[in-house]
Amino acid sequence: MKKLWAEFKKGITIENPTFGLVLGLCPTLAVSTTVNNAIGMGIAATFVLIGSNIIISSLRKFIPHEIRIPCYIVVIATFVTITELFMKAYSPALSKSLGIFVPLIVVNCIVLGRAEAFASKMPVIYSLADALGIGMGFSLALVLIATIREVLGSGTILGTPLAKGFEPAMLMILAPGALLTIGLLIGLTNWIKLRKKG
Amino acid sequence: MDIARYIMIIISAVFINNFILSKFLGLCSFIGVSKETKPAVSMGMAVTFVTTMASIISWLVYNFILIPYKLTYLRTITFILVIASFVQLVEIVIRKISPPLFRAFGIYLPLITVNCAVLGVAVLNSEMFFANGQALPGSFLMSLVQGFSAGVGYTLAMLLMSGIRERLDFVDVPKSLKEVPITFIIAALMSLAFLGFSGFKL
Amino acid sequence: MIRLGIKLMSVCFIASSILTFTYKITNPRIISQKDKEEKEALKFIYAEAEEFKKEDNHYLAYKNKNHIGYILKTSAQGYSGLIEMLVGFNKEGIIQGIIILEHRETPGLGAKISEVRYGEKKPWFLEQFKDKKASNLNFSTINAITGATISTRAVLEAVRNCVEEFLNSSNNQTSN
Repeated sequence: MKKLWAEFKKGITIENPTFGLVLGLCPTLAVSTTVNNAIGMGIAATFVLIGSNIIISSLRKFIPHEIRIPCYIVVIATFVTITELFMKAYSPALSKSLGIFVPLIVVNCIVLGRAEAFASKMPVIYSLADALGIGMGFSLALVLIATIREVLGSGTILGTPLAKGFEPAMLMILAPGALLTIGLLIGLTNWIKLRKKG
Repeated sequence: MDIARYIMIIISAVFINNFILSKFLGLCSFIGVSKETKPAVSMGMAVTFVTTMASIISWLVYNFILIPYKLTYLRTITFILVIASFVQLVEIVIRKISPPLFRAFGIYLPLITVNCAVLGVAVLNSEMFFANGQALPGSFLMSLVQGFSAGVGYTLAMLLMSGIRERLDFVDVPKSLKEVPITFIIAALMSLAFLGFSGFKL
Repeated sequence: MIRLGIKLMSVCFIASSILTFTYKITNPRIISQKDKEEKEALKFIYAEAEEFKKEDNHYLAYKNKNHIGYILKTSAQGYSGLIEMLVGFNKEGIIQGIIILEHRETPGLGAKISEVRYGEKKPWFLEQFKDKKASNLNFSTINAITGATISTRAVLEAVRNCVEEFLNSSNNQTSN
C-alpha cells in the first residue's frame, strides 16, 4: 500500500510530467488559455494514460520486445480515439475548443514514455497508480498554467470576471505568454529544488 | 491554380502560424535538440522531409481509403501507424543506401515518430482541406505545400534558437533559470517577434 | 518475423474492432448533437421563424407556413484566417441575426467578434447588426471592435455583400 502511494505521489511531485520531466508540452501550452480547456484536456489525457497503462501492463508478457513500440502506439491511439468519439458525443463544445489537440494526445511523450518506462515492466496495480499520479500531476500543472494565463490574460476565472477596472494583459493568452509562464514556472521549481539542497 | 492561395499557405505556416512558436507543435524536440546549430538544422531537415511525405501519404490514405469506406473515425490510429511505418522504412533504407546520411539524420528519425508536428500537420490537413467528407479542389497540392512549409517553419525556429543558445554559453544566466527555463523565455521573446507577422495579407 | 507480423496484425485487428464498436455506440449521439446544434443555431439567428427548410446552400425561414426570410452561410478573410458565419435576413434584406461558426482571430482582439459579455446571452458585437438593413451597414452604423478593425470590416463587408448579392440574384430570377 505504501509503495502504491509512493508511485502515485511521485507523478505529482518529483516526476511531475510538466515541471519535472518537461514532457508533453504541446498540449500543455496550446490549451491552457482557459481553465475550462485545461480541465478537459487533463481529464482526457488522464483517461488515456490509465487505459493504456493498464492494457500495456497486463499484456506485457505477450508483446514481443521487437514490436513493442508499434503495439504501444496502437493501444494508445485506440484509447485516444475512444476519448475523441465520446467527447464529440457528450461534450461537443469542449471537443471544438480542444480541436486537434485531442488526437495529438497520441504523440504526447508522457503517455508513450510511461508505457515504455513503467507499464511495460511493472504489475497492473502499480501501473494504475503510476498513471493516476502522472495524470493528476499533468492536470494540476495544466490548471496552474491556465489559471495564471486566464487571470492575467482575460481577467476572468472559469469565465467569471474577477475585478472591475482590471485591464488584462492580452499577451498572456497569446503564444508568448504561454512560453513565458512555463519558463518562469520551471525556473521557480528549480529554484525551490536548489534551495532545498542547501 | 490560384497561386496567391499557395503563397499564403507557405507564409502562414512558416511565419504567421509557425508550428513551434505559435502552434506549439514539436516543442519537446525544439527544447531538446536546439543546443547546437548543426544537429538542430539536421533535425529540422529530417522533420521537413517527414512532414512533407506524411502530408502526401496521409492525404492519399484519407482520400482513397478512409473516406470511401466511411472510416474517418479511424483517422488518428491510421495516421500514426502510417507515419510510424514510414519513418521506420526510411530508417532502414538510408541505413542500407547511405551510411553517412544515416549518421547525420538517422538518430533523429525515431524521435520524429512521436513529434507532434508530423501528426499535427497530417491531422490539420485533413481538417483544413476536406469539407463535408470530400476533398476540396487542389487539396492534394495544398496539403503537400502545407506539410513542406510546416517543416521549413520548424527548421527556421530551430536554426534561430540554436544560434541564440550557442551564444548563451557565454552569458551568466541565474542558476535556476539555466538550460530549459531560459530556453522557454527566449522562445517567448521569439514568438513575440513572430506575432508581428500576423495580419499579413496578400 | 512472420510470427511478429501476425501478432502485430492481431493487435491492430482487436484495436479496430473496439473502435468500430465505440463508433457504433457514439455515432447516433454525435449526429443528433450536430442536428441539435444546427437547429439551435438557426433558431438563434432567426428567432421569429418557426420552421426552416434546407435548399441548396441556404435555408428558407417560415412563419405560419409563410416564407419570411433566408439564412445564408458565408465566409470572410479575417485577420488570421477565414471567418465562417451564418447570416439570417428577411426578404427586405433586414438582418435578423448572425452567428460565427468558426474563426481563428486573435484571442482578446479579433476574437471579440463572437465574445459574449459576462451575464449576457448574445455576443454584443453581432447584436449590433440586428434589425439593420444590409445595405446600410457601415462603420457609422456598427461600432468597430477596438484594435480589431480588420476583423470588424471583414464581418461587416461579408454580411453586407452576401445579403445584397443573394437578394439581387433572386430578384433577377423572379423578374425573369
